[in-house]
Amino acid sequence: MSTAASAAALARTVRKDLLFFLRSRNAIILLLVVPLSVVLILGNVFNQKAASGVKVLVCSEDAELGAAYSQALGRGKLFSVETGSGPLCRDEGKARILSGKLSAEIFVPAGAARAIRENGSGQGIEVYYDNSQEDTASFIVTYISGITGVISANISEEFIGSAWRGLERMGEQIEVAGSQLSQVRGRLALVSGRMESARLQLENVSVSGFYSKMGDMESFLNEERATLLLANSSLTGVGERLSRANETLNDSRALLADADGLLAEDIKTTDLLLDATRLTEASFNSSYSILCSVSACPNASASVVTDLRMRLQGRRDKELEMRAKIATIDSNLTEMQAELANATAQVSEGRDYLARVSGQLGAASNLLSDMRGSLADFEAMRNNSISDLDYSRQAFGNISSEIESSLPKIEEARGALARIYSRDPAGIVTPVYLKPSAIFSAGGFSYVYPVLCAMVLMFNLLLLGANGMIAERKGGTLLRSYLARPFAALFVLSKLFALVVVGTFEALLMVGVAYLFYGTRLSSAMWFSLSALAVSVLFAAMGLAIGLLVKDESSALLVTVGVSIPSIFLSGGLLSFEFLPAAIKPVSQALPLSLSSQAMRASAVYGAQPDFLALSAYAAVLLLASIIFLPKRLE
Amino acid sequence: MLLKVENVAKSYGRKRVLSGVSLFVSEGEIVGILGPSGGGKSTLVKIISGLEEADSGSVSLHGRLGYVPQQDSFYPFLTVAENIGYFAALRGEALGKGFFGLDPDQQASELSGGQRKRLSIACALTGGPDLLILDEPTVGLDPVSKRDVLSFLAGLGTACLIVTHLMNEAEELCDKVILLSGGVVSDSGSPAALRRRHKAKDLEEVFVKVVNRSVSSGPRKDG
Repeated sequence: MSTAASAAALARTVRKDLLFFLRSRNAIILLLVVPLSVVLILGNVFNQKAASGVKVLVCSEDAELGAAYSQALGRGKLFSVETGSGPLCRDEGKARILSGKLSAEIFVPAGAARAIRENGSGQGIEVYYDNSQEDTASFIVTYISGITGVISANISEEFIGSAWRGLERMGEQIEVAGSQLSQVRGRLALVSGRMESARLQLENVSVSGFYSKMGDMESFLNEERATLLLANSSLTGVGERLSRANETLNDSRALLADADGLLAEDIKTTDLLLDATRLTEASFNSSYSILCSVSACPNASASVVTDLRMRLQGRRDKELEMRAKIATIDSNLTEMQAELANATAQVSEGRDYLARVSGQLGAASNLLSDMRGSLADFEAMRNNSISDLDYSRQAFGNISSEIESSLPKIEEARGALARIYSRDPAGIVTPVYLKPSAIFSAGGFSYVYPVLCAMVLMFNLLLLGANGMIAERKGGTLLRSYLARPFAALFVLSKLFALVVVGTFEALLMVGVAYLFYGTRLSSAMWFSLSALAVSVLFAAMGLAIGLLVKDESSALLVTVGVSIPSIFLSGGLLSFEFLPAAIKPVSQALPLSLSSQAMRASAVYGAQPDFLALSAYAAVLLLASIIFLPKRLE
Repeated sequence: MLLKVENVAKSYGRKRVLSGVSLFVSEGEIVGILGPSGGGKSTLVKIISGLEEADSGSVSLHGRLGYVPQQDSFYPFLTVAENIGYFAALRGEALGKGFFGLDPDQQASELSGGQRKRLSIACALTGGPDLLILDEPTVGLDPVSKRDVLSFLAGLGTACLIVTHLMNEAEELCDKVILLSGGVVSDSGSPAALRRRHKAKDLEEVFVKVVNRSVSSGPRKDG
């Protein structure tokens, strides 16, 4: 038979099976009602996003923490929060949990907040919960753990924030200390320089010169003392001579006084003569004027009197002049006498001064002797000072180098502190921020529906494949078909093809219904379609194999249910693999439904390329078994 | 000779089902195989159909084989034309030899008993078989339908190998009858010849005699 004829035979077989699915009421119910009801009912169930109204009692002996828990749990509708306190509160809460009236109780012991704040740890917060409802219990414990973490973090953040601010201040102080140390180091260098200078100056001081000069000064003082004594003696002689001169002056003054007296008397006489003359002259003058008026003027007689008066006047003037001179001389003598007295006093003062100077020179001499002793002490002190300066400079050098080596450490410490306190204290308490991002935006059903697709495909294709094959066997059509064309592979593949078409359509129908009613979206339509195809191939092959192995339809139903129910629970769709016993887990993970669920989920949810290898291997083995078994199961 | 079966033997384990069975079917000839249950009829048919191999002996078929099972071996959800077309396609032809008086658009599940059998035979006739094997073709049919089927087979002109336990049917329809009992051919020949040989009034009596004889001789064992 030609290839075209074979293809036509294959197409006819496929068409025949597809017509069965279209015309059989049971097949339609199975193919439409089951997936639609599964998607609609379970979609509504799995799309419930969270629990609500979970009854929780906050039994608190610590007002602060109790309020924090009540406030946190009271947000939203997840929890219905009651609060309580008192010694019986905790036990009453536990009793209410046991009687099913309460889902959980949080007991906060007294002083818990203070203990956490002061000691960094406190008495444990106790949570009692109803573990008979596993999901609710897990939700409660997880939620309360999260709240506890947040509350602890808040308290810790408060404490660490305070410590952080302290660190910040410490850093600033370290910076100041570093700056001050730098300044000290500079000043030390300056002082050290000055000390060096002082040392050099001290070293340059020549004490021996002082000793020589002091000797010179002593000689000088002695010489001066001798000179003073000589001057004193001279002054004594001068004084005596001055005394004698004074006496002479006194005598001279006495003589002058006598002469003056005489002159005074003489003047008085003259004055009398003058008066007499003036009267004579006046008489002459009056007589003369009368004569002149009467006769000629007799000149001679008047002029003689005038001349006499003039002479007398001259004599008086000279006497007065004489007296003035005597007065001047007396005055000069007086002045001389005063100067002599003054000189005598000065001489006396000079002698006293010389005496004092002499005494002072003696004292100076004594002082010089003392100075020599002091100079010796100074020399010793100078040597000590140089030694001290050397020691101090060395010490300053050490301090400076220590400061120098300390500065980078201070800088390092400051940098380390800066790095620490530049961080947010909140980031220390909770350095890792969890960013919960829900992958399934439309709710839990987004994750579940691909698995449900796989489950429905498994159940329906197992049942349809097995029953279809049994019907062919029992109705003789298989035998008749085989006799007409004895190619088992052709027959099996054609039936498989029809089942795969139906299965793929069914998967896409479920996806469409899930999208319309629950807004689920396919991440990759291409990979999902291919996954549905591969899963349909697998379960169709399995169904055909069952149909060839079992006796009748009831057996096929039994096997289908027997395969499906354990697979549903063990495939990771309803129960996670992680919760399965270790011995069962590898078997569970290798189940065809597990692989199918993973493939459907990977393509629908993640848009990833599923692992077709295992699915293909299963399908190939089952198809091969069917092809081999088919001729032996002809009836 | 269309079908030639010679000394065919078959055992399942230690149980011998067929032993030294030989039969011949010529073109246009209707041959009936009669025998009690467990007499080896089904095994013989499977060997002739090629579904099983004989342990020994030979089967040679010169032509194509058509098979009509006892039950309605067609698809009830398909129409008459779709059923016939399907089997015709398997045999590599567009359509069979016609619809044999059946409504091509009628769904098979709506056919009467006789029509169902006729459809079943029509399906077997697709591809133009030279030999038609029929397994209890009239079982479960009402008399009218039975008559209809038998007349239909008689008018086909195709060689038939009919497996049946209905003696009157065989007597009426078959050119030759083979009595198979205990895995061996107890007797064979035309109905009339068998009646004469066993001095019986009909084939049923012949059958009873042959079977009783086989039972009295005991089951055959290998070796």
